[in-house]
Amino acid sequence: MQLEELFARHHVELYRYVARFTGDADLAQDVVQDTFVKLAARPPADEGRLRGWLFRVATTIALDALRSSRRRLALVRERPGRLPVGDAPPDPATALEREETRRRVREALAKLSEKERAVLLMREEGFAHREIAAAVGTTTPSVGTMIARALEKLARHLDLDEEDAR
Amino acid sequence: MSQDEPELTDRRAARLGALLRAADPPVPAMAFPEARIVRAARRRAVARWRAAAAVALVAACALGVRPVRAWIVEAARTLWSAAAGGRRAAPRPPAAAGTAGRVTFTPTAGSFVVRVARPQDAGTLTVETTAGASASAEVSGGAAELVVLPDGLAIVNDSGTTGSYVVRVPAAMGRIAVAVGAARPRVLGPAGPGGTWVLDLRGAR
Repeated sequence: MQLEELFARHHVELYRYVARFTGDADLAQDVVQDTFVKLAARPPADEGRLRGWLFRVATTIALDALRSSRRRLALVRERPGRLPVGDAPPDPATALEREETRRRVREALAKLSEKERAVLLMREEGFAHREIAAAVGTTTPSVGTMIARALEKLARHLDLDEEDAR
Repeated sequence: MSQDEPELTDRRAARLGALLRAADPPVPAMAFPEARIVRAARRRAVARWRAAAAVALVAACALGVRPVRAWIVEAARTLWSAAAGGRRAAPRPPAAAGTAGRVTFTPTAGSFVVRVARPQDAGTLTVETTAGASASAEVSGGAAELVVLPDGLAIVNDSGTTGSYVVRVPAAMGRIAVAVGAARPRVLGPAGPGGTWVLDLRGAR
């Protein structure tokens, strides 16, 4: 499959994952492009595992970028999301609510370790435990434990058990 | 672990998913990073040429044969200069040297790339797949240097040459690609037995 087709197929989910992982929409765009530059230079031997390879490489690039610059503060920084061209601006109350949700989610995710964050967000993208384990360098059985532990931490900050408590 | 824990985890994950989707920034229009890919490929090519030039210099010292050494040193200098952005033309190898008309070697990488330094006034590049583990290359009708690289072969030619080249690659190679000058590498496809591709090096300008 041509690189352009692979980009068209995977860049949106990869962008979403990296934006969640880093909390920085601009950085996410750079990371996605760098990931495809790496794909062009050194494609994985097993094309059947391409999707996992893309997420693993994107995670590594994102971590390097976060560690090597002040962007590490991005997770807890206020940064309004950009609007796609042509969209009507939301009313102020909706925009405020959305921004508040973004801030809460960013702050909560920032409290997780990098590995916990990657595991949780890759699960959200539909990866199997086996694929997640390969991507973050851990064993398959420990992935379930890490997910449960990460959700336990997030539950306190994001009221994930709110409905149960009612 | 209690029986409720998997259900609790699933409920929390579902709620987190909803929150993440609500918090996601809009996806910007992103173009395929073709220019960045090309720039990165050029940087890698420069690094390879530098490595080839260094190998040629070492070979020149080791050979100790005056005319061959003089040509190799000059070629290495030219390659280095070209890689570093200089404009000197590559010297045409002396026909009498006869050191580069044919090479045979065993590729170790999973894929094979043939890099032709520049387009020519005439001539073709024929790539064939063969049984066995050895690769070979030969020049006919002109002069060029064949340099074995870790992932394939470089044909260090002169734009004025009219030489043609036949490169035989093991059919077991996962991928064969050809790059002429600064153009993007063209993938010929998974090797497979009995494959033959003929590229017009003039058309590659």
